[in-house]
Amino acid sequence: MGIQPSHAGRGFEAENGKILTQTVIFTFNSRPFTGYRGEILAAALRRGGIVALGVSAVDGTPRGAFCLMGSCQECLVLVGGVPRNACRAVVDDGLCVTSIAPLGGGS
Amino acid sequence: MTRRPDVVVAGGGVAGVMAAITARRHGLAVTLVDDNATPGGQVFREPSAFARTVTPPDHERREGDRLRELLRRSGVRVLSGWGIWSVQPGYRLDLSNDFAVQVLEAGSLVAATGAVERFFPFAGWTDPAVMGLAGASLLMRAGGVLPGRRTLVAGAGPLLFSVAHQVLDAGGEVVAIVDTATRTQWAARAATLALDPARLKTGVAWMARLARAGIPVLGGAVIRQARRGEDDLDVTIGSVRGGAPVRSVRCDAIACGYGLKPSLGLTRMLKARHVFDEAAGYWHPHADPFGRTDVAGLYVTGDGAGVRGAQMARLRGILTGHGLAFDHGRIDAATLAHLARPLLRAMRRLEVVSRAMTSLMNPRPAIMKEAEMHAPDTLMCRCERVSIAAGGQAIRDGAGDMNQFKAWTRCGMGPCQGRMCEDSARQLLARHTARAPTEVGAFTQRLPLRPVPVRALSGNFAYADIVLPQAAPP
Repeated sequence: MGIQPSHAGRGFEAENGKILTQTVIFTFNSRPFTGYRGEILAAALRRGGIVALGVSAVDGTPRGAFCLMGSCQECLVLVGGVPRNACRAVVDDGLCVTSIAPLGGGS
Repeated sequence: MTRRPDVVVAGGGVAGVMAAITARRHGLAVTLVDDNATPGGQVFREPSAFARTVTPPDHERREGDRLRELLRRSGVRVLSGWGIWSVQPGYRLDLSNDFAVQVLEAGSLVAATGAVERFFPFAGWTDPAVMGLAGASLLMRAGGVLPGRRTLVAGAGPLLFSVAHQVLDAGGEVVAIVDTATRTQWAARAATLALDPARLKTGVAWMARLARAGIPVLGGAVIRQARRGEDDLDVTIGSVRGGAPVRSVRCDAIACGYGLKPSLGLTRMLKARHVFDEAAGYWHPHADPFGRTDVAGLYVTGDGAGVRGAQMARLRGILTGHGLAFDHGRIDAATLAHLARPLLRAMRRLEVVSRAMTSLMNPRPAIMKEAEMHAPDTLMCRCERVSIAAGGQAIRDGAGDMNQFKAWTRCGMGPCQGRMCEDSARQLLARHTARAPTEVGAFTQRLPLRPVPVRALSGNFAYADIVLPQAAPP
């Protein structure tokens, strides 16, 4: 069933099998995604099938979250217009996330 | 206004937290700065509420929760979500997050910045479906998400097997494990591993599980190329000794990494003495068992002092805390010796096994040689787009050490500040110039230690707020 752990629904540390966090809606490049409040953006997007988060500023090739510990800087996206690492920023309701356009314009 | 703390601890992993708590128990005023949202570092990273419900609680989670609880009750001031982008002797620390900056001063600074993963390039490694082994582990444990449906695990060291185990645990598929070390090299460490029965037991359980699941473990092998297909990756695997490809597999995610290396930003910036660990293949700050470097008031603890793993990091952190108490006149020499003795004994026991694991992660020059031979156009610097071929050319043109190489090619000048490419640059230079890694030097650390938004630096001010000097009368 994809990249959701097959444990999903077993309810570790959950009450009555219910996940103890709120589902929220955010957008990535204008597309709506569901996530869980407080989880890192990179995780929510990957669950939603998004692997490429942006493009290399130098050559425009697609790039994604690589180190996931704030070291490689490749998962930089705009969160509400502010450049932030998707491995650090957390999901919240109504969050507007966009890829950063390559240097020198482009789409 | 908070008063100036006696100690600032940089890094909220197990070593930093234990150093902070211990120093606080001795009565010192301690501030801990951590760039993660919550303390725990990488090994004990706090799982999201979602991850807590979909992955079984393990040792790391329980220990992490205990660590966070200890810290909460310790009286240590914790600044989570803040990173250090500049440091000056004395110590003045400039902190930033994505929105703001602040300044922190302290007499003593503890660098507990842990380790970062070491990478070597292969054709296709900039594909978004390729990530670090540690990254894949964080995604699963802290995020509750698998790297992909079918994951290829590649690189070196124990993390390979740990990540494969986690993928299986979460119900994912491991296509294969590609390990640069051969079975013989692992077997040579088995006797040492037996000194740590718990670790040996874990290792044996992992291997048995992989065998049961029929997952191929390819020893002495590297990824030669990952080519993007319709909706997955077509991966060619070769031997580290060259020759024809040994296998080809398809997957939709690759988790790769060549062990860990100390994170050196602070100690390099403060010009502490660093030494090259030949067996481990990395630079680390020179420090005594309490973490004292050769720079007054600067300490280094945990994996930042040389990668030994979480158990050792905990002991090192406590020792550093006691050392701080002594250096600040809170305890006498006899008390320090009494407190240190059992910790040092435990560390000596762990050291042998930790060192054996470290040497398995040591990247062999063959990896870069392979990449250069089979895919010279592969980028060694992901940020600035410098190919291995361009690097080789710069060396032939006369770039003789790491900093010349950097200036010549821009390798290491991008947003990652050389963290991703320094190891491949060193190996390329050492091999092409037939010198030891120590002789080619290291990238000079430059500010900022991490990207800092101009917006955060400038704050909120209007154009009218800029003070302009009065124009001279005509």
